[in-house]
This record gives sequence, C-alpha cells and structure tokens, in this order.
Amino acid sequence: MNKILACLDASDYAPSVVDMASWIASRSGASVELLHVVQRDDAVAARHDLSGAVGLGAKSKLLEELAALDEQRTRLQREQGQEILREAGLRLAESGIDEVTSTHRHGGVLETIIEREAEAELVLIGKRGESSEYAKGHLGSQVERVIRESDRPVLVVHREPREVKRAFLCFDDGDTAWRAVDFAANSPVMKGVELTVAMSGHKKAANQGVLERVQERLPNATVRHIEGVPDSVLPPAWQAIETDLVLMGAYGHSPLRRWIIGSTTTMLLRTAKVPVLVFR
Amino acid sequence: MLSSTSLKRDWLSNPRQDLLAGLVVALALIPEAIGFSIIAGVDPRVGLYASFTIAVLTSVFGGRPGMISAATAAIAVLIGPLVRDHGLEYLFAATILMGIVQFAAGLLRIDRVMQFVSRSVVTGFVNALAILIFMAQLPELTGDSATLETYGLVALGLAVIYLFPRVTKSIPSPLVAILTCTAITLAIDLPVRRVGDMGALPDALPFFALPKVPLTLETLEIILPYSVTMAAVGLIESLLTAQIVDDLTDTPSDKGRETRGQGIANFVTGFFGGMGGCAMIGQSVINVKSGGHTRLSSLVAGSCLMLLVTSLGFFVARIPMPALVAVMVMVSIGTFSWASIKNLRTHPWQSSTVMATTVVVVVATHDLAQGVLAGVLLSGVFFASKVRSRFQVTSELSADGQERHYVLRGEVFYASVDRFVEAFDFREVLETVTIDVDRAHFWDLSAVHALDRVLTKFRREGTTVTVIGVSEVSANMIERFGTVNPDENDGIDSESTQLAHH
Repeated sequence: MNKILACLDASDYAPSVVDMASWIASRSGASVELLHVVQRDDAVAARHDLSGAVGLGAKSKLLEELAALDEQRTRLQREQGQEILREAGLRLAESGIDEVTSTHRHGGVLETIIEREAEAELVLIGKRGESSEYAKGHLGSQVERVIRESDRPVLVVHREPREVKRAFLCFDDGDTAWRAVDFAANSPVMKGVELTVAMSGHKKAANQGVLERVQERLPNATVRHIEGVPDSVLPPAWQAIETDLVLMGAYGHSPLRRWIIGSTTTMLLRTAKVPVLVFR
Repeated sequence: MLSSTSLKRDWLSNPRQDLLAGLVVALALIPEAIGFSIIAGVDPRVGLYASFTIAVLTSVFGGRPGMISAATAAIAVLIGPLVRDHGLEYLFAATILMGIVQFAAGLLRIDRVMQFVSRSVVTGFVNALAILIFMAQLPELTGDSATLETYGLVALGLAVIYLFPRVTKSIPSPLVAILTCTAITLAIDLPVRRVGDMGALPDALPFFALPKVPLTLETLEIILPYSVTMAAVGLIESLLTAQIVDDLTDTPSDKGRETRGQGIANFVTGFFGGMGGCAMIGQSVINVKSGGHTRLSSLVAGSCLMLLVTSLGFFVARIPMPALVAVMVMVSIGTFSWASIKNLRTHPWQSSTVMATTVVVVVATHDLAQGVLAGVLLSGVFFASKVRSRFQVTSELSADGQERHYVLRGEVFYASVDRFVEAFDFREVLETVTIDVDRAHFWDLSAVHALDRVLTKFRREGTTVTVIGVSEVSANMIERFGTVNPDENDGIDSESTQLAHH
C-alpha cells in the first residue's frame, strides 16, 4: 500500500483515527496523509434580516458583512485545525511513522475527501462528528455519504480501538464482499490476524459452494454460515469472538439500493463497537 | 458522482431560511412584477404570470442556486413598442423565440463571452438599469398623477421601507409600506390610482395557450429583432447577477446551465401568457440578505407569488400606485452602484468613460444590450491604446557606420504598426541592418505585414537585413502569414528560420 488518507476533525475520534492509521502504516509501509477540512458555516444563513429593503450600496454592504462573518469563524476553525494536524503528526511520530503529510483544505468535507482519496488506497474516518451539538454537517453525519461516494475502502474508526488480533468478515457473496475477501487474503495489514468469515441467510445448501470458495481463498480463516437476518445475527457473532475489526462490503448491488437509508450495511455500521472496514 | 450531495445542497441544505427568504422575495416580487408590467404597457397579469413561471423554472433548470429570476425592468423597457404596435400575442411569440435564442446561446457557451465585459461596463449596466427603473416611475409622478396625495404616499412608503427595519427585521419593510399606504388610502378614500386601474389581475393559475399569431415569415421579421435583443439583455443581466450571487455567497455557479435555464424558462413562459424575464439583481440581493441561497428559495418565491396573487387578488387591486412607486424607487436605489460615483474621481479616466458611455447609450436607446456593446467596444479600444504604448525601439550604429542594430521591445499589433514602421530610418545609407525582436511579440496579421514592409523597404535600399530572436508566438504568426519567405530571402538568419519551423 502506498498511501492512506486519515480524515480528522475536532471530535475525540481523531486520536483513534490516528492510532488505526499508524497500525495500518506500520504493517503495510504506507505513508499517511492527514486531512483536516475547514468547513465554513454558512454566513448567508446565519444572518437574521428579513427586512427585504435595499438601500444605498446594498450589495457592497451585504458582501462586506458576509465576508466579516465568515472571516471570524474561519480563522478560529483554521487555528483549531492546525492544532489537530500538529497533534496527529506528533502521535504518529511517537509510534515511529515518519512518512506523514498534512493537508489542510477549505471546502466541503465530502468533496475534499473524494478529491484527496485519488492518491490514497484507504480512507480512515471517525465514526461520529465533533460533538452531538456540532455533529450536524460535520464528519460524523458525513460518514455514510463518504462510504457511498468513495471508491476506496473506508475504515470507520470507533473510539479507542484495540490492537487488531481478531477480525470478522461479514460475507454476502456480493462483489464488494469478495473485495473484502481479497483484501483479507493479500494485504500485509491482515497478516497474522485471526479471521472469521460469516455468511448469514436462509438457503444454507445453495451457499455452501460459495463458502467453500471463500475457504479456498482464505485457508487459515474460520468460515461459517449463520442462520438469520444479517443485522440481527452478525453483531452477536462478532461480539462472541471479541473481534477487534469488522470487514464488509458496502451497500447493495443495485444503484437504487444505494439510496435506501437504513440498509444492512448502515445498520451493521451503527451497531459495531469496533472499527469497520467497508469495501466498495 | 456527487449528484446526491449536490442535489441536497442545492435544495435542502438550508430549508427554514430558504422558505422565509422565498416568502420575503415573493412579497417584494409582487409590486415589482406589477410595476414592470406597467412599464411594458401590459396588464399586471402578464408580468405576474411571467414572474411565477420564470422563478419556478429557473429554480429547477438554472445554474445559480439562490438567484431570483422573474419579469424584469431590463426586458420590460424593450418590449413597449412591440406591444404598442403589434399587440400582446406578438409579445408571447417573441418571448418564446427569446427562449430559443437563449437556449441556443447556452449550447454555444456564450456565457464565456461575458469575460470580455469589463468591470466598468458592468457598473455602467447596473447604473443604467437603476436609472431606467427610476425613469419608468416618472409617469406616475408627473402629469395628472402629480398630486399632493401621490407625493405624500410615495414619501410615506419610502420612509416606512427604510425606517421600519430599525423597529424589526423580521418582516419585510416594503410589505409594511404597501399595507400602510393601502390602509390609509382606503380609510380616507384618497383620490390616487390603484393597481386595479392598471389592467387585469390574475384570478387563476396561468394556462397553456399558443400565441395567436400567424406563423409567417412576416411575423418572424417583426419578433426576431425583439427576441434577439431580449435574449441578449436577459443573458447579460442574468450572468451578471449570477456573478454577484457567486461573490455574496462565495460559492461557484454553472453559467452555461444558467444560460440554458433562462432559455427554457422564457420559452415556456411565452406559452403561459407571460412576458420575457431574466435574473433580478435587486431581488437576488434581497434573497441572500434574507438568508436564502438554495434553489428552494427561488421555487418558494415563485409559488408563493402566484398563491398570494390569486388568492388575494381583491386586495392587490386596491394597492395604491404610489406605494408601488415607492417600492420601485427602493429597487432603483438598491440597484444603483453609489460607489461608482465616488470612484469617478479616483478611477482611471478610461474606466469612468466606459462606465459613463454605457449609461448614456442605455438611457438614450432604452436598450441595455446596445449600451453594453458600446462599453465593451470602448474598453477594447482603451485596452489596445494602453498596450500600444508598451512598444519601444532603440538602435545603435556600429563604429564603422555601416551597420545599425535595432532592438524592439513590447507588443506589435494592429494599433502599434504605425509606430513600428516609423521607428526605422530608411533614408540612412547602411550595408547591413539587424533587427532584434527577441523581446517583441507579433500578435496579428497587421504586425506581420508591418515587419514584411520594413524588410522589403530595407531590401529596396540595398541593405541586408537580419532578424534575430523571433519568439515562439511571433514565429508562428510570421510563418503562417508572412510573405517574406526565409528560403528565398537571405535577410532572415538561420537562427530565426529554425525557430520559425518549430
């Protein structure tokens, strides 16, 4: 792996994201790009003036007012962002990761991540935003959208991740799930990690052939079938083995299903108390 | 890839503020749409229908979220003669054709031509528009209507508009002004004209109808000039307003899509009994000022306008005209760029001349397109004359007096060729002349021809000429258009020949 992209914000997930990035980087030799996006709150929406009257120099006055509002807020955010990036860099240096670049950009969180991930092979993002109060419009609410729009595997990081000894792969025979299998089989990151692959559903007989193929690709893994609906049987299964990482394919196979909120993937993502690596 | 994101951002990123802003804009649009209809000499219904369809359609098809388009003064001042001479149906037909022209212009990416419209022309356009809106109010303030009651109501209206925001900014002050004036007029039965006196108001939603015009070449001859001018003016104001909204909200817009969107909106509007329209500077500023910046606010503005007018028609008919005049005067003041007056003294005289010319031509012709054209031409001329002065020739005679070395610097193009040719002394008797053009650029045919002329003249005097250091752009021009062929003429040395064949 060449490079991984770690997306940071002011939430307390940021250190966890950095820790996971350092774990992946140390195992795969990838360089780390730290990304913080200064996202401006909308000055236009922040004003409360419904007077509808335009007087002398209305345009320039309004422009000046809006620019001043933006300036104040953005300056604060920028300074805060620099601090976040600096701390993350220090934390990585402590664990011996040197190849680190920091990217500080203005713009939309989602757009910037999609733009920057072009050079990266994996994207790390905190599970939720800065705080419940500010969560709206920040990274947390963007997690789902990042997973939808991104072409890269996205690691959704939970708070205080443990060192990864055991991993759990949710398999559904979709293209994206096979990509997860490939990753588990080939990536140096997964070397030495005890892996369990589980497929849920009803038609056990029909799936047996598929599971055999998975076993072939992953000779060291425990491959099994669990009877039941994915989002109700898989979380207990991974909790039972005390997994440290969950791997899964993202979202359904049809473009239409991508739009349906509350899909299996989203449900699994929400329930997971460990980092989840989602494949596209 | 980002369609879901942009869809959400364009429509639902800010719903509460957008709904409110849309409502404020709708309330401000009503008097304007009526006012512009009166400028155009049509029933208020025509402007109101147009404002509804244009605002709604541009909210969907436009390229600048948060911009408000509707029936506008810029278009209204153009179409008066058409309505007067040929009737309303021809206006509808012209509006449809205007939409087609705009859509075609959008496909040709004519929005890019806007880059040639300089800042000064834009300022002139805005000022001229403000003056036109103000002048259109004069009929209501002079002649029969010049009564004490009229002036009193206009003054009262303006006072409320500008002073009421000091009390509260949570309701649109133009609306308060209209309500106050209407209440006073009704209470003491003032003898002033009402909106109801100006023509029919809508009592239902607009409906689809083909314009009742003969489909002949003659019709086309009548409407085409109007359509083209309307399309041009509409696009200029729309793209200009888009730029203003871009600046205010610090977000980008798709100007090509906006151009096509304006076309679609006008095309459809013509079939629904509306006059042509475009983006509105004043309303868009009001929209942003009220917190609106997505497509939703424009959609809400158009829909609320229609709802309000159809359900409150009886009330709208009772609004006194002076109250409308007050609102229009506010729009005029808000549109005018007052900074440009202050800057007249400090800005370069060329910029001020361009601005003033644009204003004068517009006010004289009542056609914003002609004013912009005049302004663009003039700024082109001024630019050329400025660049022209960036041309310099120095020369040096060799010790034996047999060789002169000319060094050329700067831009050689049509406006500077005379200075170019004059810089050489052909009467001097010399054996050889070298012309170093390393730091000169030959931009066009005129420049290449001038160089040819110089070379030929020296040749006729029996002088050998060497040209040194033809830069790449220049080489390209000389190679393609120069008649002096390096192979036949020893004059151009091998170095420049090589360059010319790059």
